[in-house]
Amino acid sequence: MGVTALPEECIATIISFTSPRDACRDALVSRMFGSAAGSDLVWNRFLPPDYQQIISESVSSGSSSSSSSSLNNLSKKDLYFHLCHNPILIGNGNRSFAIDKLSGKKCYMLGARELSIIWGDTPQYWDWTPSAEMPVSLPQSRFSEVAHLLDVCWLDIKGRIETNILSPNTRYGAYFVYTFVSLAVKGEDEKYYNTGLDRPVKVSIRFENENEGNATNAYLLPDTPEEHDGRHPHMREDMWMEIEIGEFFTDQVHGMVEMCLMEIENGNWKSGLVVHGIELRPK
Amino acid sequence: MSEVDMQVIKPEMMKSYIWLQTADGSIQQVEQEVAMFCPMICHEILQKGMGSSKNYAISLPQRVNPAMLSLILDYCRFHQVPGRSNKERKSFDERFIRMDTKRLCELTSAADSLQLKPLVDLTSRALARIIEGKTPEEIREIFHLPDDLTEEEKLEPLKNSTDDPRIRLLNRLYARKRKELKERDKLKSVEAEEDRVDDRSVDDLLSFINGGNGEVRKFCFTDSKGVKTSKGKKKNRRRKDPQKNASADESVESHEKDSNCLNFICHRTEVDKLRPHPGETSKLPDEEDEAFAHKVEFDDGDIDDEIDPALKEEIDREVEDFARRLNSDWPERMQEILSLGQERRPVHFFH
Repeated sequence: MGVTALPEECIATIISFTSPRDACRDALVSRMFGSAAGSDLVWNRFLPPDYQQIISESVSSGSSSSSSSSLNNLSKKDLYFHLCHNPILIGNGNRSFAIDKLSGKKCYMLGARELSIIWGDTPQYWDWTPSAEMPVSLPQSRFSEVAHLLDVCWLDIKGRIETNILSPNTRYGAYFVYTFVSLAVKGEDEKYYNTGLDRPVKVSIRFENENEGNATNAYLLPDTPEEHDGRHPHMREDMWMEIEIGEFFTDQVHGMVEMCLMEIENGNWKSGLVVHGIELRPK
Repeated sequence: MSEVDMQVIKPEMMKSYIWLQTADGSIQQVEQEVAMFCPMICHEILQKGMGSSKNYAISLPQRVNPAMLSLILDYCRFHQVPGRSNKERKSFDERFIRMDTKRLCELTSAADSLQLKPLVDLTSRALARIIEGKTPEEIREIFHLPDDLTEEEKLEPLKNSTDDPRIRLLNRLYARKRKELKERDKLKSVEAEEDRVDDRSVDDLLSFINGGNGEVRKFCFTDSKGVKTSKGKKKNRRRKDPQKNASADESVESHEKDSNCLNFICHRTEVDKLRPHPGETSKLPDEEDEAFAHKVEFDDGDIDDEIDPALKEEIDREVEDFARRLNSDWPERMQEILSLGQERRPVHFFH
């Protein structure tokens, strides 16, 4: 007897208390189980509780595959995976929202325009390149603009996000997502010669009402030797690079969290950095 | 005085009872406030006026046998008391669900038929903890479920939205396996036995995949986006070579039969994804492409034969190598495949 006596809806309820990974795997158990595992009841529970509101507020990017009406037409399972692989633009188009595949928790990315970049408004220091005009050799941006560092001594980039929009009771990591213009330049040895960023930057993260936390060294250049003490960058699937700024836990207590990337000590000129944004995702 | 007289004299002192009848015919009395905790019983009492006497006992659904009823009433008896703290309730629940899996299932079923949602949730969560992390085979064993998916359904190709070479190889493995299944069927009907040299390794591999951790295919989190199978599409354009092994008629016939069968399966998977959306003309071509791509994937197995033998060998070698690698470092492979989409590869190379 066992579970075969259970109606499909009960099986779906049981599966909904497992995980997305389990639900995918359970499709192979038996016909009924598989049907239950793919049902809206299950995947509705895996989606973030306020997903519908977020989708309805999304900025229609023009492509109909991401407009809220077409998203609402998908089954909950399809919607889940769509949001895993296709971040949607929200806010005024300077933030994106996606879902972490394994946990169903929310992922946000703050675009470069959402960040506070010191000297960012001074054209001889920073250039705001529309994504459409980026060199083809560089990865695509999901936002309308990226920040291109022409020349600066005082590198100071900060991002802020309200923790109450993130998934509660979750450990989040904040990642600075960037690349270098000089990647496009051919010539082995001269690749990063001019960036001034072979020395580490300092990254730190803190809740808004707390004192400055400890800053960690972070090496932005990808071929930095591993022995150098500090964070090292990783290449993402979307071909941008990322480096961890820090991590924090979303309890209901704290409000705003501030992420910081700075190089203000060396006094040298830095250039060539292209900023995509800061991504927050569950660890 | 008789009991009846006492009831008349002190109605406030006496509890009222509700009569319940289980499917096996046995009837029992239950305190009203306890019974009313179940929405279904509540409905019967209030809307239909049943349960006030033995003759008008409320007939409980078939899924509620006396043993389950007793458990459910215990649950109701505890929880219907308003004064209890959350901690007490939680503590009771934790002790309450300590029972074997079979009983948990029966209890879920019974509670569901009585619409007692809190109990359904409680037992469901307990069952969820049991099935979490288990393979399909283990789950079938625990719950005595039939293995009623056809081989082909299990070997549905993975959707390869990111054109991951591992998924491509896996799909190719599946295509090969499907082809072997077809061949086996063909041979069965002719009653000829052949030694298929490759068979064992693919079998082992796939039973390892399907049995041990057969959820690999589903781990790759099938995706709703269109599949980029340009390779497959190219192959589909080749026509079946009539000079091949079987006679032209036979091969065409079996191909048709298979594609009918496979089209059906294909269609079944597509049905899930195709929703009627009147305004979404731009989406439909995607879905159709996907369906097309899927069919192409299925045909892959047949068309393998037409590939230049050298290329075919290389592909086979790739597949075998993949199989071997899968076998040898399975845990790491699993982690890789699981973290598909989240992989952060440390940069040691750069152009």
